[in-house]
Amino acid sequence: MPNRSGSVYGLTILSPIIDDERATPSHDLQIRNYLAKLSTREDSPFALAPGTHLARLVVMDDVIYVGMPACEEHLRSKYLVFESNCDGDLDGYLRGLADSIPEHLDAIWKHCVGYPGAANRQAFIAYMKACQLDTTFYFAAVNDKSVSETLRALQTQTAVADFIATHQGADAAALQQEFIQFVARLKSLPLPRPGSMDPHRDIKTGGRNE
Amino acid sequence: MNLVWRWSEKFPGSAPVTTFKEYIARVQFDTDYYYTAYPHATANDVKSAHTVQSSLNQLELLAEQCNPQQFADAYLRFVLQVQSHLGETGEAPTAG
Repeated sequence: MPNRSGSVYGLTILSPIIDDERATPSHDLQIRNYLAKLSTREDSPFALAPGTHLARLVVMDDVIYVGMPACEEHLRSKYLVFESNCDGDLDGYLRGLADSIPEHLDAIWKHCVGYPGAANRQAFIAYMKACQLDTTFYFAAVNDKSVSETLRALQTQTAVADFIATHQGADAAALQQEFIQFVARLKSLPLPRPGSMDPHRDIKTGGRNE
Repeated sequence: MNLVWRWSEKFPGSAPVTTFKEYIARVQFDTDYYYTAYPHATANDVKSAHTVQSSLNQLELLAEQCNPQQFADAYLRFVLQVQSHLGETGEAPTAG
């Protein structure tokens, strides 16, 4: 299935934006205005909803004309393009969005033609799937790990680097004991929040100003 | 690149790079909103992190079962396995 690579799903949705001369500002501008104010970090709606590796939203005004000899064509409508790399099956992912961030979905997609609202889960899922484009080719660099597994692995990577740095030349028995304690401590740490920039470590460049 | 994009109008080919980049910039749609669950990590960081996690899981199984010398040998092999996967993640250093 071209929409899937391993356990990761590549979702592309194109929703036509309402063209209403009386709307001020126009619906596409209202979407852009909302998106410009939306957090992209740990309080992003997509961090609150489960299973999003990456998400992109684009307001597409028209197709691009590259000049002669191409035929000049135009779209009949502006489109909202939503792309997401997510875990699991599509129905479950869309249901997770509708359950977790219905107010954000409504604030964005209410400017699109035929959007039924997130409150009606079945209608919402049917609408999103009706607007879906099948992916022709999909490549994910890591396609067999969930968001949680990747966040955990990144946390482990940082901790292991620190552990190795602080245990160089350690006695074998002490090393074994401290390693067992280290792994237990690591497992007890809370999972980093999706979209967060932690862990923060100062980057040492070795420059003369350090 | 050429085999995929050759069907597009005015595609200049992937080399020389200047005309290629001009073409990409011309047909690009700017992103209005972009979110990633791990903004501090590149694709290679993510692959490396899973390599470290996998190696750590294997060493953990061994750590409870072997004597200190056996563990020290296994730990050394672990360090050799993961040493090229421990690069710094985070915001890229910027000038100024």
